[in-house]
Amino acid sequence: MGQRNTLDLLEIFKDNDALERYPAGSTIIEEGARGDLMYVVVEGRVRISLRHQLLAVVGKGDIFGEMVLISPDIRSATVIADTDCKLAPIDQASFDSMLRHVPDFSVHVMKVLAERLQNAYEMIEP
Amino acid sequence: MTFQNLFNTWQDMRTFCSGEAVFEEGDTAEAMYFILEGEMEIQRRGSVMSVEGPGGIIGESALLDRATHNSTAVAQSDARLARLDRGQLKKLMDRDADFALHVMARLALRLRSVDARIGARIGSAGRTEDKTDGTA
Repeated sequence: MGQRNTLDLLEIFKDNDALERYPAGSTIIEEGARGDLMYVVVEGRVRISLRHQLLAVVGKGDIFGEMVLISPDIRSATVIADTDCKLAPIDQASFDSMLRHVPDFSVHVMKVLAERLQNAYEMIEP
Repeated sequence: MTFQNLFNTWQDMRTFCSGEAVFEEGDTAEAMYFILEGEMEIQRRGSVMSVEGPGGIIGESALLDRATHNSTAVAQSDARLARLDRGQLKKLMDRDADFALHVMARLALRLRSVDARIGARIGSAGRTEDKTDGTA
């Protein structure tokens, strides 16, 4: 269920010096919590789920947690490291700056949202 | 309404009468629509997913590679929409970060409301994914 990338975020973040490491099985984001970071997966894979129901598996070069930067609210889903992971955190200031200065970034994020929405619609089958 | 001025000289305007469908589930998704006037109901398998008003964006499936609309959009009132293809949306979003953030936020709101429905549907019953042995 990976996102088809129009933009190579890995290239931008692979040498980032603020990478966070999460061991397999650890919780990165918890549904209902406050948060102010989104992440780019630099190494490894994470699972996004809602009440223990899997919504998406997200891998290298993909993003997650973007919702809090777009529409501030509590976290809408839980994210758990599926393998050992290296993640690049992006805060609001970097996100806003990327929207303005990285061509394709906004369309990339929009595509991720469209894809999540598509998957979500498929999950509410009557 | 904010961002309406971006479309002052937009060439591809579409108007719909109340009850008319803009696109239907299964249609090839060639374009998105920015709502300038009117209300659009988003339906899937006959049930209402959300209602989008001025400033909202519909038809976002057109951004994806397997581009088929997975919902139906029906005008709930007379409506005026700006039609945008992928390239046009990209151009607008790259040129105007505030507009980009605005359309993302509108999409995120829809996603949150659908997620809430999924959450309510699952409730506490359907534990289909057991948590691994990590911290909670």
